[in-house]
Amino acid sequence: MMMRAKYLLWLLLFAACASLVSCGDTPLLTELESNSLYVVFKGTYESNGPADWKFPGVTSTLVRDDSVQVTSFFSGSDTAPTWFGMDIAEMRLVDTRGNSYKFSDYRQGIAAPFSNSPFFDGSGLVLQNDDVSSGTYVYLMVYMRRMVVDGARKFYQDGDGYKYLQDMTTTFFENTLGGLNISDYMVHSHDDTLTYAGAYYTNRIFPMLLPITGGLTVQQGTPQVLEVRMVLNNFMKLYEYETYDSGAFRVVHFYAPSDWLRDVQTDETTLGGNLHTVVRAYTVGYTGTISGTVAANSMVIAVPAGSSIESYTIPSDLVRGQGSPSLGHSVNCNLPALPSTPGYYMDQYLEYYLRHETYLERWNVLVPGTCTDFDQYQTSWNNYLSVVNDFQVPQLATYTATGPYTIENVPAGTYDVYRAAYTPATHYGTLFTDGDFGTYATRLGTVVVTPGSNVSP
Amino acid sequence: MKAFKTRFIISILFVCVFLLASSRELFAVRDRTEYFTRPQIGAWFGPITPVGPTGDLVQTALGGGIFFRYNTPYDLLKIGLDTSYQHFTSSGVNELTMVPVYGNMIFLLPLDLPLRFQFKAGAGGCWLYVKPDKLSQWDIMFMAGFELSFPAGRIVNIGLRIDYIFLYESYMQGARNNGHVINAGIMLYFNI
Repeated sequence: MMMRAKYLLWLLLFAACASLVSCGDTPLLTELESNSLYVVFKGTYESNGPADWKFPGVTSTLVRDDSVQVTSFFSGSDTAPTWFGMDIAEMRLVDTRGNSYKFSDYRQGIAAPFSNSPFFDGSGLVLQNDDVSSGTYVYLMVYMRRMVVDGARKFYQDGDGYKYLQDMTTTFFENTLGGLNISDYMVHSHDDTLTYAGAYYTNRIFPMLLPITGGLTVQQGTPQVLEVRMVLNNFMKLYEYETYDSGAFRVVHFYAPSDWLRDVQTDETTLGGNLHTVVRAYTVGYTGTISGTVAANSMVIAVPAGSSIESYTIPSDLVRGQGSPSLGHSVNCNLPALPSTPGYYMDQYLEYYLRHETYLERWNVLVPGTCTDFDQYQTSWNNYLSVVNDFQVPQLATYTATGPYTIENVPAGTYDVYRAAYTPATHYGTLFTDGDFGTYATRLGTVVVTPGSNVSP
Repeated sequence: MKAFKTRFIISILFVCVFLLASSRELFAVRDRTEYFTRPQIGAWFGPITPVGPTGDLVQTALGGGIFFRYNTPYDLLKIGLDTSYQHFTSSGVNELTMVPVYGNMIFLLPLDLPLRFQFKAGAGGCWLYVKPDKLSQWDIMFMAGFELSFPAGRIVNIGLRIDYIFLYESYMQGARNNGHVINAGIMLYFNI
């Protein structure tokens, strides 16, 4: 009898424990798996309705950068680029206290043809990610393993001049494809290499540290979109680098984002700082639209009310290593870079000595001619960088070929709307300089956008 | 080469003799069984592995727990109470913390060996906390497991265990998955 009572006691204890537990009704594991933050990548300047891909042709000066020296061929020549690829290792969000959260630990690739691709037609490609905790995030870090553009070709030289040798191939997602991995050249810009910190510690693409304009405020369960745009559409230029195959001289032509902002000069392979990006966040269902009609072939942008339109343009007379003469930057200190040390072959040594002579000559023109001392050198480059670093891509932009335009997914707020003339074929490889959007006085108007509204300036 | 072969044969013979000698011991400890029928208390520690869809969310970690067992009038069957702490992280932002609390029935295989094989099955509740959602609640859970242990004296038992934990969520609105976790561990428990 005693024994039975004991077991009964244990059973009662279990029952008591079980009754303490009242189960929830939220499927937590499903919650952990699903996410309400959508990261959308676009390769366009425009947030919606971008201009179509209009490649002006391989011989156009809009495509062929002025740093390209080898421009004449007897047989075989350059070819147009057709697709762009990105290999992203991971993405992180940085909160206001500087803590970073690896919210996308998935290696993901984008391989997008320049025409007829969601990446370039304004709809965007959604990347895989997890949710982050509620809070405010101010930076997005994109770890870029590779950026590949096709159309890269290698040329050799014989008595008659340069001739086509082969298409360049690279590895992209463990496959060998035609193209060149340009991420090696995007790591630094030329001005990074002028400073100790820049040359040794700066890395512009691993990670690419992108400020989120206006910040991203996450509230669990509220669907939000983080739109990441990179200016690549109608913005690819042809560059050149020289190499040796077992002592034989070769020239490689390849495509990379335009050097419109940070000029690339002959013999340079640093193209960094020319990948213009903007990241903006909006809450699904809490946006309105801005629409209206302007002249055909226009770029219409909406910027937060009161912000300077000159943040979205650069002075038209910007000079590398000097700044803008119209802003009073008078001294040119764009000194040539020392040629790289030669390899093991006689040809390379001879080439090096020739380049070294050119380098000395260019240096002597500037020093002490215009750039007399180190203070001037510093001031000139600082002037230049202050202009270059201030450039922003607007959060909201759309292109219209015919006149009517609509800017979609505009978060609630007050915006100034501007318009600039933009013809894709003739503006290829360039963005906007001061005056293109007019002035504050000549803007299209100021609008107040509320959720669900459609307003006209 | 010949010397190597001779040494190899000798060492094989040595191992065989050793096994024969020790097998006597293997079958000669019946009297120890009675200590095993006492109430027991113990702890375990080992790798905890999310499997199936749960394995896509979080990664294997280390966990541990404690348990208590009480005998029933039927010697081969015990009832037990088990709890543990299991914290899973991922290489991203996902984190899952589990505290299962469950009752179970433990069945001892009636084999005359000092090694004891036990099967168990049970049910209870599991407290879950997920990050980055920062949500927590109790879920219904079921478990099944297998244990292998041997006595180290009258009081101490040393063993290995493997449990499968099933977190039942699919009945909830909007659920796509249930939870699946495998716990393996070494354990130490005492006959009290």
